[in-house]
Amino acid sequence: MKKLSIIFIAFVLLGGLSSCVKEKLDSPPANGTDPNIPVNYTVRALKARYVGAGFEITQDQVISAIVVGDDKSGNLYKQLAIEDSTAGIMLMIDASGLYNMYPIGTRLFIKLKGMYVGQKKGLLQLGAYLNADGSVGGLLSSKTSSFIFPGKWGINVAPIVTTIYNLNGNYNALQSELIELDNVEFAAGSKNVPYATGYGITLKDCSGNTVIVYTAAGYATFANSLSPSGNGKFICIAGVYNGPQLTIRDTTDIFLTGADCGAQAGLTIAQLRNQYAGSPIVLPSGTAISGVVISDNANGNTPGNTMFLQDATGGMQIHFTGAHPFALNSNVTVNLGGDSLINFNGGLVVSSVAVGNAAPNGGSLTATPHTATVAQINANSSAWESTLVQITNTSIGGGSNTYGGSHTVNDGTGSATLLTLPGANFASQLYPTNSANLTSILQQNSGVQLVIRNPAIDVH
Amino acid sequence: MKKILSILFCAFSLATFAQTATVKGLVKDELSQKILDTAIATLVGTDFKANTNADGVFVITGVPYGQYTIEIKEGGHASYSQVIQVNQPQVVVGSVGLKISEAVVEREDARDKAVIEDVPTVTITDVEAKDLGDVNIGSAIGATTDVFISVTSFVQSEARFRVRGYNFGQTEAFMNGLPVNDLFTGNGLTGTWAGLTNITHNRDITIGIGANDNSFGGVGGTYSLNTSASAQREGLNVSYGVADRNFRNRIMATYSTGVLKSGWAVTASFTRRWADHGYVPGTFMDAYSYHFSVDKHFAGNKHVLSFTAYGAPTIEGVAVASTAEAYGLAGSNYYNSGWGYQNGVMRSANIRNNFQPQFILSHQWKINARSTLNTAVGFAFGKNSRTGLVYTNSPNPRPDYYKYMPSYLTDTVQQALAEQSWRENVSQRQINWDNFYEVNRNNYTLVPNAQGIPTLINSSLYVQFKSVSDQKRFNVNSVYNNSITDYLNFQAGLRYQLETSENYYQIADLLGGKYFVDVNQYAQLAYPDSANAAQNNLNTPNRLCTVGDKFQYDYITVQHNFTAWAQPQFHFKHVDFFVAAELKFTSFWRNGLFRNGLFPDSSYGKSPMQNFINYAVKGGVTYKIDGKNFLYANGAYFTKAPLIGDAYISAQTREQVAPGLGNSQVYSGEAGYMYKTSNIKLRASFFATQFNNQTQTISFYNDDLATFVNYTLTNLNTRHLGGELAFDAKVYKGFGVSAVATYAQSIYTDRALATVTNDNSAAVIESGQTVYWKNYNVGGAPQLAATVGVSYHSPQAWYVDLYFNYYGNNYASLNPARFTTQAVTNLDPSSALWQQIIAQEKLPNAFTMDLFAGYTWLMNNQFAKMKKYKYYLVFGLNVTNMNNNRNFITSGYEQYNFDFKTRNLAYYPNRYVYAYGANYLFTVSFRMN
Amino acid sequence: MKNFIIALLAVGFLAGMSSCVKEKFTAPPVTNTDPDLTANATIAQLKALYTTNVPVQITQDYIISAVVVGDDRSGNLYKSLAIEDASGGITLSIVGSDLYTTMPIGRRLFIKCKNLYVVQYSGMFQLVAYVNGDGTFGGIPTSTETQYIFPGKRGIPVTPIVTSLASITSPNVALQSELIELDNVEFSSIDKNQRYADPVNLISVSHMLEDCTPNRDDVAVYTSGYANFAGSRTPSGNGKVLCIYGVYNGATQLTIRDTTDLFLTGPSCH
Repeated sequence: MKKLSIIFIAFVLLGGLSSCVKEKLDSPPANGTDPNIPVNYTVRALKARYVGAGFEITQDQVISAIVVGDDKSGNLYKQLAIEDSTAGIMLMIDASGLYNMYPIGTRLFIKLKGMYVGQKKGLLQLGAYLNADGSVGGLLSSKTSSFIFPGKWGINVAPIVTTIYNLNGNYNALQSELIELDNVEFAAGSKNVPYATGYGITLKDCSGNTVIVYTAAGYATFANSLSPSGNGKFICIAGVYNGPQLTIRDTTDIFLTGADCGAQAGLTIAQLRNQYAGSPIVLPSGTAISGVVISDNANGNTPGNTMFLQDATGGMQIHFTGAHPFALNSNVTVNLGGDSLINFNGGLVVSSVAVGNAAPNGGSLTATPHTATVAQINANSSAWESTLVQITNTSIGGGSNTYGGSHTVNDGTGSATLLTLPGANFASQLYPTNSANLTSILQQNSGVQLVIRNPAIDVH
Repeated sequence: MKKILSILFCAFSLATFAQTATVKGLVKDELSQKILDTAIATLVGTDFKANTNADGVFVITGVPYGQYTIEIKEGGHASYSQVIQVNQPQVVVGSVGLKISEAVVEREDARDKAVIEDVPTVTITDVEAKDLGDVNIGSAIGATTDVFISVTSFVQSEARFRVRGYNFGQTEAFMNGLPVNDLFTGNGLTGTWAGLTNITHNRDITIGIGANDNSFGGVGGTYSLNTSASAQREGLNVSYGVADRNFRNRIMATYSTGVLKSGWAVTASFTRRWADHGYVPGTFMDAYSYHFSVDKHFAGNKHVLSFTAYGAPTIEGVAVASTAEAYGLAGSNYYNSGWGYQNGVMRSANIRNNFQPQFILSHQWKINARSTLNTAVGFAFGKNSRTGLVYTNSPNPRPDYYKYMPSYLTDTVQQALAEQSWRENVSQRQINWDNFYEVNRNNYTLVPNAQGIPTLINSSLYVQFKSVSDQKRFNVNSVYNNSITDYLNFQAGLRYQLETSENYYQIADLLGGKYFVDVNQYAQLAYPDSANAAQNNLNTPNRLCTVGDKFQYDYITVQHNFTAWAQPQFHFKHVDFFVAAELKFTSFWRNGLFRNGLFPDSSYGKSPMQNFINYAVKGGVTYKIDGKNFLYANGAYFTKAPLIGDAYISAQTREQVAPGLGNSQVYSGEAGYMYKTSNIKLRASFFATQFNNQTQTISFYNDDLATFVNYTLTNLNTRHLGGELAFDAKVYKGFGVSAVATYAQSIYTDRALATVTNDNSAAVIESGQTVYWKNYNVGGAPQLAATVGVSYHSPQAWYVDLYFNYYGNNYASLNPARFTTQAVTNLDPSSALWQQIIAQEKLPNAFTMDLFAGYTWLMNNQFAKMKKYKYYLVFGLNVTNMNNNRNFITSGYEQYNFDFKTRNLAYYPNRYVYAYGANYLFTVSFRMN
Repeated sequence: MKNFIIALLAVGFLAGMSSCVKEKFTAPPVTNTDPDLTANATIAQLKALYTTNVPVQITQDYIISAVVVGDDRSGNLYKSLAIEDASGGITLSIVGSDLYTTMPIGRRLFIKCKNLYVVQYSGMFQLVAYVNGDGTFGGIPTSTETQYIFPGKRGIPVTPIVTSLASITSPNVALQSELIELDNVEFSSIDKNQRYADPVNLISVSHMLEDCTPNRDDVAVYTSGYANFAGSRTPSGNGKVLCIYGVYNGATQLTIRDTTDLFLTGPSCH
């Protein structure tokens, strides 16, 4: 009996304890839930019913559409661009701060009965009543809960990829939808100007098709920001104002960072050098070169703002507006658009490049030096300017017996100047008195000048 | 019972030999006539002894013929002895009624008096009180011999422990056979007899769903009191107590005649508890209670007619729960934001005023030796009210309103200044009554007069209101009991209940102004074109109210209940089992007395009736392994009608009920093991209860909307699961040890659906909004509670009990609004803010120690003259929370306000109620009987 | 013994019954006095501290005594009060609602100005408590109000400065935050019988008030969507207007305290 009791107690306690196992805590669903409202209509069908005059929807029709443009930046005001898989329309609500409740990516279920469709300058609007001019008045915020039922949020709507040419032909079909235009840029006169300039600024593609981008002054937070000058991807809401007109949701939708249509992306250094024809030129926007950093400003023998960049075709000396962070052997692209290519003491230099225009491509590379005699170097000093050269079995002499200052390199075929800046951190080291293999940058500075990066790697 | 005795008697008589005899008897409690199954009978001077079995019967066998003194002892009772002649094979001592020992009486008394009325009364806030209305649950259940019940009710009441995590509405309460649950909230009306601890010893408490002879019972069990004059100890008892709790002084007097030869019995009891200043600053108490009962026994006890009247007019200034920031700045966990000085005198803004006198006429009829019919008829009426402050077009008067807290400020200099001001300037933490007077005296408003002409009147902006519930109850309850055979007895009952409850706001004090204008200013703003929307009562528009006038809302609810139940119980040698069934018809409606301007068509007059038919069944089996070891298991299924208080989505303004209003279902099971000897009692059990489809309405004042917001939750499903252990042993002579532990889990098992409305808008703000709180804890009470007690009871009539208590797994109760998609709209689930919004705070675990000690001095020994009666002086001391744990949060809750715009959780942080630090009650009583 | 016990009980009970719990309160006395403070500066002096178009913190122990001429009772002024002394007016910015309950029109306020800031918001002088890093500023918080503001007598008569509409069409710094009176004016024809503002969507609206001259000089009357009269309609008659003078971004902007400030009952003059 005792045994039975003990077993029973054990059972009771185990039962009690095991039942209290922690279960996973609930949580509201990520991205919310959709209301249980059957959808029986589309935006396209709704739009199709507009034939020249505004109308009230009297049937129990429900659409479900996703907000693709809200008023967060202020560029849309008291309205939301919504679209379903068939079309888009502008939803008018007489309130500000709509993005708090109905941000981009929110699916709205809209009970259309009692709402109106009208248009303003060709833009179809869905709202509470018709104004005398045929446009639509916004729903009062106290009434929105009777018509608009928000569902899931955070829905990612892919923009419709189109072209300016196609848009100009189909703007009524695309209106109030999120679109993407590729390889476009602001036209001359619309670059580097406030977004809210006049009656809009012009966007063009490389074939010359254009469209207006309108930003209202005083509302959009970015109204006074400057438009970019590059070329690339442009995402916006397709609008209508007596014709196609684009509305930017925010500047984060604009990726005009590439070289513009007339520009020269992917230029080789040799091609760049060839553009110099005797007088300074301003490089067109989009001009960029890539290569390996062969200078080493960590050891101080190249000024902090100076970079020597070498690719398979040649080398280029670049002067930045400040010290740049790129170490020896970095793989770098430098955007030179707007900067000047000049002749500086006999060498070609791109001058006054903003440090931010240089970007690492990742990884490091090693440039291959031209192995040559001093005579060959002197003969090819223009072609090999700003690249690495290697001289075998040469003597170094003259001046003091330390690297600092000017010395003569002579391998028996000829001589050249080896210059080490007094600020270089190896300036006080002794240089070898016997013959050595020497690697250096060939710099044209009132004649050929050899510049080593540091003795540890360049002098053997 | 006698039959069983004789059966046993026969069984054993076969085994007896000549010249030896069997001595047997049945032991009961003299007063309650309950069987005592842990008594021990000894033949003095011999080794012959026996324990009573589960039926209260002892059997001593093999007793040689002769004369003996038999002594019967039981822990809680005075011993009994009698000389017996053993001169035949079977000697039946008979039915021995033991009187409860004086020491135990005094101890129970002291504990009752120490604790029952002493759970800190902290109001949660005026408006949130409803869902925590059962905070006093622990104290409501009193002493019995079951150590589990006595510990959970006495000792653990300080932690607001709730047995099995149920709210008190799950327990059926009875007073002298009359059901005394409030039909509006479901809760037992224990407050109506608060303070009457002298006459409420006779309790019959069951926990869970076992069989009960007097009613079908709730899923939580039953709680019955017998205060009839015949059940009271004869004599006079007068006492004075001094304490530092919510009262400072207590006087009590009780006189009972006992049952006189004429068949009459009369008892009268009176108590007053009072304090100008309670434990928490700004609180006070003035509580009276009275009880009068007269019984008449007719026809040789065949009929007993009993009349009882009692009541407890109580006025109490209660404390208000506050936030960690406010407690910290005030430097005390007993900071109370609910009071301030008026003209230099302490004044509380939160005053409870309760008085619901009850009258009961009951009739006990012993139809024959096997059957009884007990009937009770009762009538009660009276008001419960709570005061608060209404503020219109004026700043929130609450000193700890979030906009007044330093944490609200962003500028560090101003924040530091505000903190300093909060710490040093006491008046900044208090209610500024003088300012209310000044503002009200100087405020004039244009109000249309009878002719519609705007007239300038002096109207109060701040008003102290009373939220009143004026109730009338009529109950009839009849229970028939028949021991049909020795194996079967049968109970059945019929019950009718009628309750009306008028609920309204009433002007308690205009605070210096002449009038208060009864309009809803916020509806006026929201509906500028409607002349009517702002009127709280279109029947008396723009009414100028003065003190005593009803305003804002006024409605009556009426409920009828008719219940029938039946229960056969079977008793066999090793197995007892029972089944029971109940059928209930409920009907209720609302009758609006104001025509609300926002709901002109659904606020005034009688609403459609809501009718519900419910049934419940239960059954259980006990396996009696032997006289010491028992196994039992019970199961039950209930359907329950919703409570009126939860049925209407905004009962204050309209008759609309919760969507899909319907019955809830309760499934409950429990099983356990018991071990009982005269020295050791052990019970281990586990229980599982599932509540499905409950409806609950929460109303709270939203500071930002300046109106009541109502959340009606449907599909509210909870599960309560856990184990209980109770152990009580007499170790050596007077030393005893007891241990009680509960480890349980109360969780929401499903997502609830919320219907949200607010009282200044005609619109339903949300309908069918999902509340994502599945598997979260039902907060508000510790789910782990353990107590170990050691006691010493000296033969010299003094005793000391020490209890060590540990509480854990106490969770803050939840705000459903935070578990909706709206609360986390546009947030990433992995973001810190999302996680914070849906995090449930686990309150710190706590340890406390309690002391009970007492001494009874029989004065007759000192004063030779005293002969006719026995005279006692009894001293009792209780120190609760001896270790002075002042950081013990007994309950915490998420505020119902949530700022959906900013989602700044610092605006509405959790609020907490702390247990009192070390506190005492010392009593001196004089008794004569 | 018995007598002794009975006596003891009787005494104890009498004591218990007679001790009463106080729950009766006397109303505080009616007072209408000024605090024990003396003004040692004027509003004009405060404004004069603002010399370089950036917020200026007041470092002197200045105390001003000014009378509230515009409060937030109607909600048209919000979290601010227009106060003036003999030298001029200024807007007192306070982070709190229903300020009129303790600081109504006609009440004298003594303000300890030390550590407060004088700022301009869209050209309007304000007295504020702090300036944020981004140049925005905040009013005096409710929780620190008692350290700066000491209300005094109520019921001080406030006399408006009578002026003409023509003279205020271009901003007049001297009149800022003062109560002014314009006579023989009316709302322009399209602003008559219009809602003052939009109380449902809480949008503020300006209406033009014009005089009777042939060229119809006009100024804007601004009403907040939070004003409790926002949903009422503007009168169409001609007459007297009381209002608080203000400027907003270089233009005059008048604010009425309530519709009772308008006495436009005469026939239109156009």
